[in-house]
Amino acid sequence: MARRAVKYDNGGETQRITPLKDTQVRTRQVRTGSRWKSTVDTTEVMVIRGPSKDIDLRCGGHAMVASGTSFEAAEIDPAYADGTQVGKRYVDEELGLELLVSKAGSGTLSVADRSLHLKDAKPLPTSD
Amino acid sequence: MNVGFLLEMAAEGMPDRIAVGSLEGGITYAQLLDQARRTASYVRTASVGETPVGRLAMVDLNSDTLPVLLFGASFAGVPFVPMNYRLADDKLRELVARNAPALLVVDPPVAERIGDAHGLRVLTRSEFGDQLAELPAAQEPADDAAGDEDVEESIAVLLFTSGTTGAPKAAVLRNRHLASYILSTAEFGAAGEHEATLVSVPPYHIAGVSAILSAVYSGRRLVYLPAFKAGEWVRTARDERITHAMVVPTMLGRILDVLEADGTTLPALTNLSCGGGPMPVAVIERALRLLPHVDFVNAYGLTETSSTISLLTPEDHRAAISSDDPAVRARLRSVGRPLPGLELEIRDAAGEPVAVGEPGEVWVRGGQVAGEYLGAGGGDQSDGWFPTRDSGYLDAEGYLFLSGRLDDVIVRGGENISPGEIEEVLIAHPAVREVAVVGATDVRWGERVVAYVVPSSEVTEEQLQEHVRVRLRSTCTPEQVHFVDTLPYNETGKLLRRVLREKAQETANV
Repeated sequence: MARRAVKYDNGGETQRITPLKDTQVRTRQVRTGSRWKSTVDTTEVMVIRGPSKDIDLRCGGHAMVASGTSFEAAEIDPAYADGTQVGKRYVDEELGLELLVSKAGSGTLSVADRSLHLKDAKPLPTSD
Repeated sequence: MNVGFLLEMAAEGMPDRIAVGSLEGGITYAQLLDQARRTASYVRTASVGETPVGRLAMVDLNSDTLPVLLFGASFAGVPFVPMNYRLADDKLRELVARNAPALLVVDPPVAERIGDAHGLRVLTRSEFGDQLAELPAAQEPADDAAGDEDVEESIAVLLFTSGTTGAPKAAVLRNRHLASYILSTAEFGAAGEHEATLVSVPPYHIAGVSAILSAVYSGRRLVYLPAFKAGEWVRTARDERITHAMVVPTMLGRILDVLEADGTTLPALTNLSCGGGPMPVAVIERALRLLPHVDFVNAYGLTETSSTISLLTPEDHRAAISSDDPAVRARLRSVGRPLPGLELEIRDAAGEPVAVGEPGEVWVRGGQVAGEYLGAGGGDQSDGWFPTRDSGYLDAEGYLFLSGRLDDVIVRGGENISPGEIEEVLIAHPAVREVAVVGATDVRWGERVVAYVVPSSEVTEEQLQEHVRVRLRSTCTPEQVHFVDTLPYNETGKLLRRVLREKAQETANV
């Protein structure tokens, strides 16, 4: 039996992670099942698969905050303004991070300055 | 993630779309969310005597209340337990009692049958509706945010499986299993506004649970039949302009009878999914002929795997039916290929993977695979791999062919004989409408092969024995062929082999 592995496009070679100058680096544990909010737009995500190590999760170039906590609104970094789509999953395969966007926004999801990639999921015919 | 989150997303993204019911008078996703949250606040404060309830149970037919209860239980953080209303009174009382302390929503006749149930707070469906209406509009929970592994691990649904021996076992489906299944099979909001799915499988069946989650996440309207009746199904499908439905093979056969009899064509129907048991080739061929505009899916799944693990797509169906290659044509009998992201292997009795084409037990592993029973642990003894107890093989292209339950294998004179193999040969005989093969104790062979046949025209025992002998081997030839009017099925179309085995036993001893 051929084992089926899902392949992800991680956009060619891996970029080196360097923190952005204008953003305070905050690495935190991003646990499976936790929910995070953008400080620059309406984006909200649910963590489908959390990495084992602490990460600097961002949206629109700024650190995301745990849903339900208070925060100071920030200005979106134009370099991180590609936007997200509701119901889509965004991944960083190397870290083992997978996010589900529950509310869309105009910012790009990233870990430090490395953008997450849209998970390519082929639609399946409905079986329920 | 809990399954309630799927509804929150739908209510956020498509608040005014009709979620459940008919286009006029149905409720929207925003309303469904409100009712589910009211249900949660009701469940959180409900108690039996001094004890807070720990489960939301239901013994009822399908109704628009069913999704409200499923999501409400999820928001309240308690398991939802839909149970079989067809059980005999004493069995039903025993089963519901196992859920105490619980809130139990029932059909009025069930309330009478259950009587004074210790540890249960019993409400009829309409009483429950009244209670919800009296509650203030539900607020969004202030902070259900910061990551909680408890939520992932909490039990979303308990489904009692019909054990052949002993008391029914409660299969555990945790939030993470069901969420994983939905995320890997459905796309958020992908359904068109005109799409509607007709649910006629019972609420205590895994397909009844997955139907709700898939439809809500996709944005497809749910329409319920209280219980399956072919005429009612066709009428509702036509009147509600149903686009999607899931049926078991016996249902499909009866639906086709109605369509043929009254000439209805169901032009709105685009997708028909079949599962819950082996699909006779004659039935699917007839379906493809009568409903040429419909995409057919044949799905295989188990309660323990949060529904579908393998499916034969519409393209597979079309390729098979129009192919001259016997290997491709044969795929009409297969359950297709495993879902992406799920691992599936065929293993021998020692647990070692077998070669392509070799039969063995189907094992699966993946985020949707639970394989756990309440009070019995389970799940992780084999590195996440779950043995399904189904036997089958994979062809060179990875299509899965099932040959039955391992527990149904007949051991005759030391040889393992699969009833499915013999049934397949017999059903191909033009005079055989339905067939079931079971083993009966035999003094000489240990077990003997017994066939039960529903004939469609005149045929003799000798003719059918000869039909098997020339196509398989003499050891597979049924020692006895009994002609019957009907075979025993449960309400989801599953053949009750146990009943036939008992019957075969009686005649064998004569």
